[in-house]
Amino acid sequence: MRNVAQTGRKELEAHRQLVTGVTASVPRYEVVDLDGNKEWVVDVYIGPLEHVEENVIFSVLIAPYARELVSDIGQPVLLERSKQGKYSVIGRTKNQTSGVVFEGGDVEEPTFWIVRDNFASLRLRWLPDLDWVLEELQDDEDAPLQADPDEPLQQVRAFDAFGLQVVGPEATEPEDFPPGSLPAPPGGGSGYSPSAAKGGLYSPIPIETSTSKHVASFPSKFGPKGDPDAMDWGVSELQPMILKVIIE
Amino acid sequence: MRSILPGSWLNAIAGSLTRHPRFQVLIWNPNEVLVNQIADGTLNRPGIDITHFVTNVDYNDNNGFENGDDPSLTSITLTLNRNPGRGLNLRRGLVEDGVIVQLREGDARIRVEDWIPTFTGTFRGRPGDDPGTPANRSEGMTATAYGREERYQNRMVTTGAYRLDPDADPPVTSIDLGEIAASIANKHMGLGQNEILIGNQGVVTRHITNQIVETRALEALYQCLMPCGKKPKFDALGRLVAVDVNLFKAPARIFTNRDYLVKRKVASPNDVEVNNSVVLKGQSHIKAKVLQPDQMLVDLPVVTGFFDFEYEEDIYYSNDHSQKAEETHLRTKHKIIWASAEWEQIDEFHGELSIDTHYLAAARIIIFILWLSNEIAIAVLTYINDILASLVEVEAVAVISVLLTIAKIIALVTLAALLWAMQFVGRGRYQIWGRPYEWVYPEISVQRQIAGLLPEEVREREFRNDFISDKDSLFARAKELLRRELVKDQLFEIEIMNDFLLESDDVLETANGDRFYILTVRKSLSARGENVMTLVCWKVQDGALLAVDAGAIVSTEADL
Repeated sequence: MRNVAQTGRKELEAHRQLVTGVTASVPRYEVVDLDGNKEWVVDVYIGPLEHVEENVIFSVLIAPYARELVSDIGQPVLLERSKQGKYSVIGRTKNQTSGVVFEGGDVEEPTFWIVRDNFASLRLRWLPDLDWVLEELQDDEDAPLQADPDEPLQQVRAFDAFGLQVVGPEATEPEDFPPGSLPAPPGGGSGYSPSAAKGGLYSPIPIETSTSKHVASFPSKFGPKGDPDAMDWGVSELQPMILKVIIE
Repeated sequence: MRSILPGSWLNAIAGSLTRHPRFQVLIWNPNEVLVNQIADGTLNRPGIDITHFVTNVDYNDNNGFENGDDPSLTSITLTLNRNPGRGLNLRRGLVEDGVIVQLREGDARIRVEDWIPTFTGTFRGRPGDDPGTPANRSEGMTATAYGREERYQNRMVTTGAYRLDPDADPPVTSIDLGEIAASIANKHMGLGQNEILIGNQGVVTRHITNQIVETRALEALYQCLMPCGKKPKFDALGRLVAVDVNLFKAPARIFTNRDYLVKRKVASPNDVEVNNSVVLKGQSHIKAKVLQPDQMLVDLPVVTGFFDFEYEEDIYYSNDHSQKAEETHLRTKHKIIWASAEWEQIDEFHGELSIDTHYLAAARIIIFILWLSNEIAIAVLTYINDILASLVEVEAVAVISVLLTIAKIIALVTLAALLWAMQFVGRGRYQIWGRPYEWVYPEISVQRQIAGLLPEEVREREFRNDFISDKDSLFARAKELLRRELVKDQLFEIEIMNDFLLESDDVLETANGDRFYILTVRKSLSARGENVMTLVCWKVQDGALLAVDAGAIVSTEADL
């Protein structure tokens, strides 16, 4: 067998992963184990995840050769994720991860967005297996074309494979249509369910919603009292750091 | 799609039910001919026709670079008969590794010269050779050839820098990505101008410096074309083209005759787990400023010269003069007495500290002159005292002695004052405070997904392309990628009569309005076989839903 150390190092490097992030706190000297040993640590934001609030790794140890480089909040840093899954800050980087802001919580230049499309917006309305039903224009020649100027001339309804209505006013405004007030859907079924409408997922109208999400970390303000971004005089430490998610 | 002249016989035949299919296989000696010559049309030497040896051609046209890291190759596999009864013998060297081959398809009713090439490539490996046995006379050879993309699968590329120059006349503030792709193909893949059919794409990069580093050639081209909604591919002649990968592009063929040409259309069963969310990451071309809070940059003890009227010094924010800072200001820790200090920021690296000490200097000069004059007076009085003592003028000597003593006391006091003024009064301590900053590459990213997903329902795929540098492009490309992910399980196999026009990445539309995006084209050509091709497709449009939309009158402002 060749040099064991060389092989081991190569294997470690193969599992080593470099991750970029941004410091979400100033480095601090704190206890890192039950024996009371202390080391320099820092909190690091590692990038946006939709369903994770802040996505911050807390109390990441700073490698000694990186200690002088990592000195403040809001600095882009390089983390190493070892084979054992341990993170440590090993240096600085010139890449700033998206979704972070540090100027008092004001998002001047958004860098991360979440966009949700329905099938109509993607022109893929046919993907789900639905029965589309187009209302008759008029029941008879004497029937008015529209009962209300805000109504469409022809209502479009859709039912899923189980017969649940997923598109149409009955699906989205069920309080106007008590159960039993409508004829049974084609192919049978239990009627309508607002949960099946799923935020307009199946609507024939293209719907695209966009929000930006950023993590802000900044020293709390001095006041006014009661402001969520202000410190609690006499209770908290002086100007503790605030970490919060800003969705706009 | 391939270029067939509309209105031509060949195009008409491709859309008809009556076929007399023919094919031709030509080979060239790689020691004499380069595939470049075939691609750019400069080859005058005709190929060697081995068609009469070929009993079957299995053709497989795959979509190269569906995802940027999975280049799949177009290939043909020839089954050859060694002795087709004409007294000819096929040497293995004619179909062995490196030999250039071209497949042409046409119809018996069309001149051979007008048949179209459907594949140009190179044989790889050693051909299989079955000499047959007395019991089994199915002797023959098999050889496989791959398209031109096979040559560049492992070729690594590091380009030069493609730079913008805002200060030039006229200013260069963007570079078209098609220009970069063409440059890569020309300089790093050895393709000539006539082999590269990639022009300006109308999509530009706005980064000051653009470079592809240690990337496979085809992947480098893909990264350049991905923001344009295209991907690189070698066509049937071996020319490099940019193929439009838009799922909703115009169909290359529309079947309107009750699908007689369509033999079979089957939804393929599959267990493809479709991704319902994509993350696309780009990089803004405007660097982000990482601004640190106000902090001490330099701590400066100052000692002014004894008789300096002012103190001026350039102060840098770091020892190596490279630290940038803004909003710098001066803080005085210990002020030099009778002096005023001012700070002026010169640039982002340094500023100038000016301390006006003329009052202090004047005070020192006055004290110094006073001390000096006292010393001179002491010297003179001592001299006079000595003279008077020699003349034994006792009264005068006593007076002079008193004066001398007074002068010495004054001198000592002024000396002390001078020393104090020089050592203590001229010292100060100042600090320069400011906000250090640096410019970094800012990542921009968008997570695009279908509405109504619960966290545990998200199946996500991540893409990255640093040429995408603004929000609008990011959103648009992410939408296209999401569409593409969602249709990946809508696999259909369609068998139709062989159509020379169709190739992978084309869209075809059936008579009922359904549209299909072709992923793979497979066909088997032989003298007596069925002239059909099998298309593996994604369904991208449903004709029935179009009919519902067409029948609906949804406007509330209908003309009555």
